[in-house]
Amino acid sequence: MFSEEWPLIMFTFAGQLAIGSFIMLAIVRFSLSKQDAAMAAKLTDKGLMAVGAVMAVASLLPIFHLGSPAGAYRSIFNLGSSWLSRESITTGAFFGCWFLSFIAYQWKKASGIFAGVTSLVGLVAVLSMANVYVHSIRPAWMHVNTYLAFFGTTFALGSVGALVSIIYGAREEQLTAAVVGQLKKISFIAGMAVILPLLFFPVFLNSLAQGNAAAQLSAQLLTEKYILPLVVRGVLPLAGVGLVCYAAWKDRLAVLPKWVYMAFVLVMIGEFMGRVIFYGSAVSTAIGLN
Amino acid sequence: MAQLGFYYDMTACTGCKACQIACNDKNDLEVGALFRKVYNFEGGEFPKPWAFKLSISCNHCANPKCVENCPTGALYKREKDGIVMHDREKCIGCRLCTWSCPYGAPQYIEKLGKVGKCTLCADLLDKGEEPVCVTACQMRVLHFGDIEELRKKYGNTADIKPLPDSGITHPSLTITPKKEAVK
Repeated sequence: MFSEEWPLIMFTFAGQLAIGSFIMLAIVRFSLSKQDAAMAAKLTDKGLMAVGAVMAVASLLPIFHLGSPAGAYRSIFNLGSSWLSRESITTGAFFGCWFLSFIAYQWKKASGIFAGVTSLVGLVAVLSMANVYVHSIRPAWMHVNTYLAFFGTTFALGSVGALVSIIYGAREEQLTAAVVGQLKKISFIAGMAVILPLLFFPVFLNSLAQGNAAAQLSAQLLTEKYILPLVVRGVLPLAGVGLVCYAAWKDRLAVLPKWVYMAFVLVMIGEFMGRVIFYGSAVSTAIGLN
Repeated sequence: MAQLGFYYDMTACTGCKACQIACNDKNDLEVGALFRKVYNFEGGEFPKPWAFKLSISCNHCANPKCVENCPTGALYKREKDGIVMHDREKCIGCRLCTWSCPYGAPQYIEKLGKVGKCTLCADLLDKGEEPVCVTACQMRVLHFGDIEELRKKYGNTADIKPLPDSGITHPSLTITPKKEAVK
């Protein structure tokens, strides 16, 4: 299948990292800015800038998947029924909204409203990404698991991305109780975003095993060919969020920055592995598969 | 709107592939892309082996997922006869249609960087001729026409063992299956 799908794997992964990080950073900035606007800016500015860079790269990646890249602009011509058109327009809109939000943050004018709209557009972009796959003919994609996987990745990557940004931004600062409280909340969200899709996975696998021949082939691929990558996909993010949740629980996140960076790497690798498995294990409903 | 479609009599098909070759020739296809394909299915054990053929192309479905998902509008249903047409100029080669068709009809053509598919030889139909696969069939097992008329004449069977559930896209296709292919 799937060597030609690498641009899409990288696009959905990087796009969800950027969108998730923006949402988490926007929440932190909103929560902290009432008490100490300067500190809120210091902790989130670099992360917010990185979101734009990652999203800019992500937006270009799908072009490499096209057989005729010069016509890429035509991918928005069927908004009436195509989720791919909606994905193109919403990811582009997220990038545009990010830019406006970033400007608003710098000018300190209506930044909360801009950030809220940007976050909503980002969530619609992730929904559109998921629906491209849900509306295919591959049973492993035509499943509520796709929404859980995409939103799970968005919030898992977004949470660890935001933690890295904040810890990096705070490396010469004494963190206030309010900041530490935010770090705890983000760690908890990261934990939920990793654990919930993993808890659902047996249900997903069971429903594939009960499905048509294409679904059963996907279940077979997951339990045979992809069993080791699946273990890695589960264990690494769990270890990553375990690290930050433990450090947060012990109030040691700020003094253990290496733990946060390590958690970021572990969650990134695990979630990326999950995305590769997502593409590799999807079998099409097709002639002769009944 | 009338809806054109195919009737295929599996019981008399010899699997000669004249339909497939005529289609390749008409559409100037190179190795790797088939707008119509003849499949062979076989099974059973001595003394009761069985085999049947299946000739199939785009079924110009009533609810084509390829049309719904195509981001450029390159795929569309022709108003006057329900043919699923493909505008190659608009196609960007995203291949989402190949993820959307349970019959494998849209074919990615590497050399062009675009997709191609059966258009029921719409250009020939417009000149009053018939699709080349129908013309080429030496056993006369392949017919085309108003699908409702074909269903009245030959029955309404689009669900046979090797085919995906017709409820997914409602193909404009009816088949007289061999008994081994009956669901």
